[in-house]
Amino acid sequence: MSTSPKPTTGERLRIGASLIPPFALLWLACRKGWIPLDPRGALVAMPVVLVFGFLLPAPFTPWHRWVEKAQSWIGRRLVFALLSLVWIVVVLPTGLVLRALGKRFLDPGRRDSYWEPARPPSSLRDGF
Amino acid sequence: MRRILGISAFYHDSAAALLVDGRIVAASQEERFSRRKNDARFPKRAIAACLAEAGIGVGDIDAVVFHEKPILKFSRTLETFLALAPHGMKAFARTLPSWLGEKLDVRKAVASGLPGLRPDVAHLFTGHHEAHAASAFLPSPFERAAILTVDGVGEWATTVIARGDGARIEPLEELRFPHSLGLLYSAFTAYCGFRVNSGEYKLMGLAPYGEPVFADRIREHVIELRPDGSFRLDLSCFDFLADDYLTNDRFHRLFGGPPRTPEASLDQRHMDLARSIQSVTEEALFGLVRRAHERTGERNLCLAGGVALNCVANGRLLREGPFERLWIQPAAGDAGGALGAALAAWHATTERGGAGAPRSAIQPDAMSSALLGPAWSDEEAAAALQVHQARFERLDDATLLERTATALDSGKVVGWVQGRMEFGPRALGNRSILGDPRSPAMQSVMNLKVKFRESFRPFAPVVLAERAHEYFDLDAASPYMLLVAQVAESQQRPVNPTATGLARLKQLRSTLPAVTHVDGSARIQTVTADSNPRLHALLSAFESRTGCPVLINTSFNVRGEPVVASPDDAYRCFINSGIDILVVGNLWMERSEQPHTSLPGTFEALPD
Repeated sequence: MSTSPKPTTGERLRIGASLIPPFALLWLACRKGWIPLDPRGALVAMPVVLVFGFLLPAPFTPWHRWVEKAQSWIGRRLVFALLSLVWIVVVLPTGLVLRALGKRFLDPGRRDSYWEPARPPSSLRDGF
Repeated sequence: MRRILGISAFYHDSAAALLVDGRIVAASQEERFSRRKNDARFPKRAIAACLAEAGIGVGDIDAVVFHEKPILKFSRTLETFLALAPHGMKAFARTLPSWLGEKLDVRKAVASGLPGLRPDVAHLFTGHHEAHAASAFLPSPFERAAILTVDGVGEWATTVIARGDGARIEPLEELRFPHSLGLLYSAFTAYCGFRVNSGEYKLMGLAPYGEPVFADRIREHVIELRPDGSFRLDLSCFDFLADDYLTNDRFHRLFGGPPRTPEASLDQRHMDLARSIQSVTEEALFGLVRRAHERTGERNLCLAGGVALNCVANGRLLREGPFERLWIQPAAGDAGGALGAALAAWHATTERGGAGAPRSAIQPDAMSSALLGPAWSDEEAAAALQVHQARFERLDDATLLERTATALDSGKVVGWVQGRMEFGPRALGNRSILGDPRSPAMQSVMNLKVKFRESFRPFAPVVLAERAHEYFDLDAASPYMLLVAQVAESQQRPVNPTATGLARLKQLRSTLPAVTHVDGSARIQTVTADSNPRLHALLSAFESRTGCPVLINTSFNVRGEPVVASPDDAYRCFINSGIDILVVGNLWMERSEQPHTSLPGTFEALPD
């Protein structure tokens, strides 16, 4: 028989927090008037579900996993977009300028020998 | 620094190795415990196994040594992206997040992976090839030697020639990224439909079925080999810098079509490609070895790096190369970097007297036959097996050996788990599946019904060292299954020379058909009573019964699974495969008596 380990305090808190986003969306929709309800109800519900999820995490664990997956999916795409921007703004122009200046990074060009003197080992304490 | 932990991680095949007062106490790959093949994650399970073997805790570690210089490697990655512009945006955005975490801040990764580490523990880093060179030379039986390390890439170097003298390793020259023999071989591995970093040995096994018809094309268009042993890749054929794919359209046009998909059938073109790249790789390696000989003037050569696992090339280097003796690190790939890093750090310690202090080379080497992993007692194994209600008998040594030899003689396939687990990619007789090499049907039975893998793949023989010369043209010991040699002419049988491709597999090639490859070669492991007494005793029992001192030795796993570590892993694999008998220590199990026909596997199956 297998038993799943008891969630830690941090995990309980995260499970509780994962219940908040639907109510946050509900609050927003009520405030904008898209749903004809009092937004204060959703606002009050948020800390309540946080505590509820913290005290009784087991039934909400699948939901929490789903939220985590969604967060990770969104996070990956945001990071991808951000790094694409860094590439466009920094890497692309730098690379092109250096190439225009005649810098050859990876291709040694045709030579009689491609041997290079070995780099002397740096101190073991250095990561570089 | 008395207790030094070496770590390799975050690329592929993570591992840990532990030295106590300079002695190699334990070393293991993470995949064996996590059950994920080529696991690249922080090797916390492997570290735990090493510490348990030494009987110490995390707080007793004096130094942790990582096998690479992460900042240097990161700078190479960035420089590569600058060189690629205006291409490579996708690769940049996909690659960088992994660098911004544990790969760059290794100290933090070590601290979070090893809670309980003392605050004064030394965090050290060797270069990637420095670790490989240390793993090749420092445990070797040589006082002095040339060292050659060849792999995909480390920080910048892809190939390094060095000289080892005492405990000092002096790097002499190097070839730099992206000009890499390892990456070239991996590109052909991927092109032929095998998984990079694990399918290279399949490509090597496929090569004898083909002809080197593409070798000239590879030399003309893909790699420029210089007379001094150096080389340069034509980068217009590759995509490994800018994309996930290793090869591009130009490469595909050169070699007659798109890459093979993993489950597509293998045709003669793939076999010819395998043979061609093997031929070019051997030529390139010979160039490197000649250069190492010229530069160092040494008589002995130590090899490491992933390319050193190419045992076909190793066999040729030993027979035809300029060096008198050859020693290859059994964990030549990145896992061995963990051991090399720890060894390099130990030999530089002030306690030892620094790298200038003398080092006594241990004979036959300091690797303890590569049996550096954990062991399970019969009591522990019995407890693990009882969880499955396994039916087993506990036998005395003599009965066990006699019964196992009898079973092998009658064509049974035996799972054999004994003593400490091997470190490195090869099962050397402690986590092995054994069979009778005299049986013409055994190769096919073991490939298809036991290991569920491709029918073309050869099996390796393990032979009593004292009788190896009667069966194989091999003058040297091969304890780590890293040398390929021809089956002795007296054992070979005439074959139809007009047969081609996989049709050659069906021919009876020798008195040991199950371990004789289609070109008459075999990847040999020699065993002495000192190197592995238990396996030696079993071979002797089989020899007494049959006159044949050879067995098939293949790793105890099925396709896509890491080699088994524990009795539990072994029992699951036994039940789920076509193995007839399982022997764990002195416990004997027969398939027909077991209460299960299948059990849930514990490994994460990956395409291979």
